Amino acid sequence: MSARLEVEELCVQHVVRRGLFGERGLIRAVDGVSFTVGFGETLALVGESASGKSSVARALLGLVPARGRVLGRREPGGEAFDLLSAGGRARRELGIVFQDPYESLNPRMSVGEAVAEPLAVHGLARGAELARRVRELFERVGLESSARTRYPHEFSGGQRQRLAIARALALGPKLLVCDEAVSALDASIRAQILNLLADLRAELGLSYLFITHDLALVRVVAERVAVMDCGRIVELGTVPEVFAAPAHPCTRALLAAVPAGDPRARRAPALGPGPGPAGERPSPLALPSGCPYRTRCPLAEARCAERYPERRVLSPTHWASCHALDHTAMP
Amino acid sequence: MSALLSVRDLCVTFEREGEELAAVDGVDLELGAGETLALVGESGSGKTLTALAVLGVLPAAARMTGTLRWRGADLATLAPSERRALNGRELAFVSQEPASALDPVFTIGEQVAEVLRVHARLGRAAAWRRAVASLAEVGIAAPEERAHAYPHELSGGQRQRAALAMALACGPALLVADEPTSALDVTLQAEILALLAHLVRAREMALVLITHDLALVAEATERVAVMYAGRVVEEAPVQELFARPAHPYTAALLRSRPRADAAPEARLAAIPGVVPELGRGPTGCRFAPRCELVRERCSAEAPPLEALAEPGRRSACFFAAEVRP
Repeated sequence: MSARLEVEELCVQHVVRRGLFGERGLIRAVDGVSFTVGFGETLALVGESASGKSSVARALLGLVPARGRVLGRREPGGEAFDLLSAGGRARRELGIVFQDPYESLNPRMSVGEAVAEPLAVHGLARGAELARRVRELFERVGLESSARTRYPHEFSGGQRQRLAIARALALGPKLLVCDEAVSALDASIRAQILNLLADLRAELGLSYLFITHDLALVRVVAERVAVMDCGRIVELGTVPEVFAAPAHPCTRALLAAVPAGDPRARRAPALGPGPGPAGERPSPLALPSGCPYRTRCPLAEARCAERYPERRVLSPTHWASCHALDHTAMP
Repeated sequence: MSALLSVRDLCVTFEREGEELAAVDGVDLELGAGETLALVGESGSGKTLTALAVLGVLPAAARMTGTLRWRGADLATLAPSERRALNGRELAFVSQEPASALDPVFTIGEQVAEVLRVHARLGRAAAWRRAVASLAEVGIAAPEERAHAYPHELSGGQRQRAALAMALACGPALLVADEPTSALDVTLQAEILALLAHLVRAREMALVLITHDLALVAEATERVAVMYAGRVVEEAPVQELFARPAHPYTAALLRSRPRADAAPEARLAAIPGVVPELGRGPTGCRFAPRCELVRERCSAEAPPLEALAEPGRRSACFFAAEVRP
């Protein structure tokens, strides 16, 4: 099988000290994560904060040291190149769009220069050719190319996100990593940016790794979804499968927490005043043994503390890691 | 019956390069005891400044005009000390970032107890007991122990609960909650909303929930006021607003949401254009440049917020009857 991106057993660890002279602790931010992203496909990576989803993005882009295997391909059946060891040249295949474009744009650089910078740094274009490519990128993301001489603060949040997308596209990547790319945008602008991402995918044949905490978005942007908790993927499947029949209790809790967005479907406040099913998240420095979700899990049993559950295959395109799935009849 | 809170023709302006720019431009609102109202708007809509004006804590550079009445009394006539006493006892506030309400060098028990000693004039021991009870009420497990914790020892959700305990310690008649769940994970967001709904009912407290997220409104309040570029453009009971929006902006916002039943690959109904800059809105209706129903009249004169035939509904659109859901 060949895919745009193949990630196998990706691990990211951070060593931290507790206090100034405290003992060293190890945080497994990403702990053996494997997935693929197909050609022209969008895979959504969802989870709560500190679930490891952004660490996956940073590892793919070489922003944090990581172990594992990450292979990329430009076209179906094409030669695979190793993204983790290949360095800058291969990483041109990946672009990234962060949540806050203001932080990825230099305030002292005109936005035209900001978009031109990656092209100039990689020596891909100069002079008139560079100017032409920049104009093209501006038009592609729906900005007037005359805005090139302005500075980031002169743009609204939505326009800045368009700039960040233009900059990410400058090197002609085939896979865009969108890390909460629309989370900070106002509602009336968010749909514009989501539509732009959809158009770019169709026109350029891009693949997306779409990282978000917002499950309501997943349904409209992605074909498949991977749910992360405590550094691992706990469930992965097509969007219709996961939304219709979420198999992992963590996925169910995330789906149940999505506001219905319709007062007729208002949830009964059955949770009452106490901590709900989300409970308290364990410290990443002292994860519970076995399945780290068990301390928040309504289905926890003795063996959950003993070992991490193996993948249960639910369909050729859907799996989850939960001991409780042993009790349910296979479809 | 006089309202608990009434806001009349509220304007908040800032001076920039000799120009007066209106961030809040003629807002009228009314809230009865025990009522819940959501103030919905995007960034720059003026929703937070409206709340800060009500609480009397506008930034120093802001100029305010208009009338604010609390139980019928004009808030402008209160002495600063009376105003502080009112804020402590009757009017409570929680923000998006609970860390801004909590002092890092005191335990959460001490901070809740201090509010009670200052505003409810309780003694040390009584204040501590009430503080622990307050922490229990907002769902903090093992409150006797947790009262001794410092803010940094708590998770984000627990900090927001502690900030709520502090705000609610004196039994306020009105809680103003500014994006109380925006910084929280979705599962925590659901818990805090459920907690708010529970507290509002249990205490018969009024609530103004400020949010950019229409989906939250559907969960948490009975009435909604939608703001755009400094003005209230529509007000309605929450059911009616979702079923039959009476302002093109509300309708467009509702349509632009990702829908559960949408066909895959369907494009979202985006609203074209951008939110006008502070004080740079067009004359006439500020939504006109982005509106699908726009006519000549809309850019000539500003539509007033007027009552519709249905009870409890107001819309600031000349063509409210033509708005499609």
